[in-house]
Amino acid sequence: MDAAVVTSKKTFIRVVEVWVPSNDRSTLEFSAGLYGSAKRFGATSRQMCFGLGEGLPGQAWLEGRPIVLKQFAGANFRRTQAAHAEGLTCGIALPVFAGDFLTAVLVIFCGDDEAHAGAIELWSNDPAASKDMTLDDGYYGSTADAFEFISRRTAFRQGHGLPGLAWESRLPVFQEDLGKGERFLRADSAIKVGINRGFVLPCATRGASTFVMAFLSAMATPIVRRFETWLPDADGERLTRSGGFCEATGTVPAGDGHDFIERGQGTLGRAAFTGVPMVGESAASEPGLVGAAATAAGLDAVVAVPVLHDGRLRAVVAWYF
Amino acid sequence: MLVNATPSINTRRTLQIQDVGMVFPTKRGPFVALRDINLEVQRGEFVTLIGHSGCGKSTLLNLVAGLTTPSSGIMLLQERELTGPGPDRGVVFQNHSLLPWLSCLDNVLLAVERVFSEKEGKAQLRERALAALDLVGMSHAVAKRPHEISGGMKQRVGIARALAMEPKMLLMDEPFGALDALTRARLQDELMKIVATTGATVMMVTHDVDEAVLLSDRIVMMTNGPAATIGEVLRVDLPRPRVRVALAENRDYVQYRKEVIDFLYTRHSHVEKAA
Repeated sequence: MDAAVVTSKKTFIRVVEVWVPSNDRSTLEFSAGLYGSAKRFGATSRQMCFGLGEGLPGQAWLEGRPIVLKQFAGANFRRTQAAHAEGLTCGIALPVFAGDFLTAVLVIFCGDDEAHAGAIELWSNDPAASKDMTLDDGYYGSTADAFEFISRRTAFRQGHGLPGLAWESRLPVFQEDLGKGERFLRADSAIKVGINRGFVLPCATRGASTFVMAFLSAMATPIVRRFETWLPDADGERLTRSGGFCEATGTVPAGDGHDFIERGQGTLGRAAFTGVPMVGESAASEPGLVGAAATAAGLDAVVAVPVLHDGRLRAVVAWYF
Repeated sequence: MLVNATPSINTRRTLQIQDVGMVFPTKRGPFVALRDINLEVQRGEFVTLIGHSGCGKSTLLNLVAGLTTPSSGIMLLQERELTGPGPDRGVVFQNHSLLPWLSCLDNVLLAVERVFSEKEGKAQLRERALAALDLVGMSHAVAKRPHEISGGMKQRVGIARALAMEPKMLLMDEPFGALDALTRARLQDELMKIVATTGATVMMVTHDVDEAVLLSDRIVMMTNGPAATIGEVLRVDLPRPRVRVALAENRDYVQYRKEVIDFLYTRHSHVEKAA
């Protein structure tokens, strides 16, 4: 596939921002952001801070779990006008907990338009109540009614379906063609509404419940331009690429063990070191495989999201834009 | 040390299956039929088990019936552990299992006496048996023996016998599998009416996708064996009473049906491919 064609596509994720606790942990402060064309929204956001329960980041902090905000107006959202002006229609806040303590809140915004085909689903399991993982909340845009209908009535067991696989492994799970795989249990409905890419991210939350966030999108609207999963070694000192997918070049192979990232090195290494999502605005200048991949595929920026479980680093996910 | 000794009891919960596994010894070594089975069935709920042949759905039903003992895990019926068969679970098999030398009434009476004979007199027991036969529309054939009635009628008597014991759960193993399509459809409709009347809690094994969607509150879809387990559970939110003809064109019904077919024939089809 031609890299130039791919980079011209709008990604499903339009805006990413990272909010971190202030020094006295009384508020969430702006740490980093990637706004693409939504520059005015970025300018507004950079000046803000959120207390516990305030706005979308503060609400995720308070509740200790991910939140999907499908409608800004009338909700506890403080940037409604700015978001609407940029065509943003859905916000997701993912708190990152290292054990009981919040390290950051990752906030993602998506846009909705006529060509849009995609869905964001939050799946959860409360072990005290059930062995099933069921849909907690979802955003389906305007074209995915049939898909939503079945999602809301389906329950997955651990190890089954993309949410169940992420739940079992505590690792990100990606499927590039949902219609062909047996792992995606709602393939028929997904194909009908044009959804063919699935990426599921386990969320580090406070409490016993498990949450996984599923990003489902169409070929014309990729979730991101490239994504990779990096795994720490036994000592947690190095990250090695375990695989991924690039809209420009296809399947991204696992690293050969020699191309690793040291803890603290580059955007991914810093995310592994701090447990805080990081934004690298110039992906091409990143060290090692990250910079090489960005240069080869013509990618602009990279976001590194640490995946934690029980306070330990399980993986770092790299999203390229 | 303070201990909270008051367990919370969910009064709606009829059946709990917790971490149940079933391993059969064979000449070639242990055969894992089922693993990690976890399921709860609420009072008044109609649950079907669906999956390919050999996926262990009948094994699971037999475990709940107490006909076999699980290799691991526990099963609770209204918070009491299941340790064997009992009248608190009425079982209807594909084969009607009626005693050929007894009339329909006596077949039902046999089950009724087993449960209620210590508390009730003969007249009351007979009333119970007749009421059960009336519920399944078999009042006209109480004196007939099994060989004198059709396959569908035999299954009705089997259902009457199970219901007459007033079980906490009705367990049905492909009860309509041996019947022709028209008789099966009629009995499915009648079963829905009976369940609506009695509020019975039902677990039923079936191969039939339409039957599963028509009857169920939840469809439990099982992965292929060996070492089969529950893969997906589909909640069927179709309003009741359900009318077969109207449902055929119902958009939601079609969606549910497609999901089950997709699970069985796209995602878990390798048994058929290998055959």
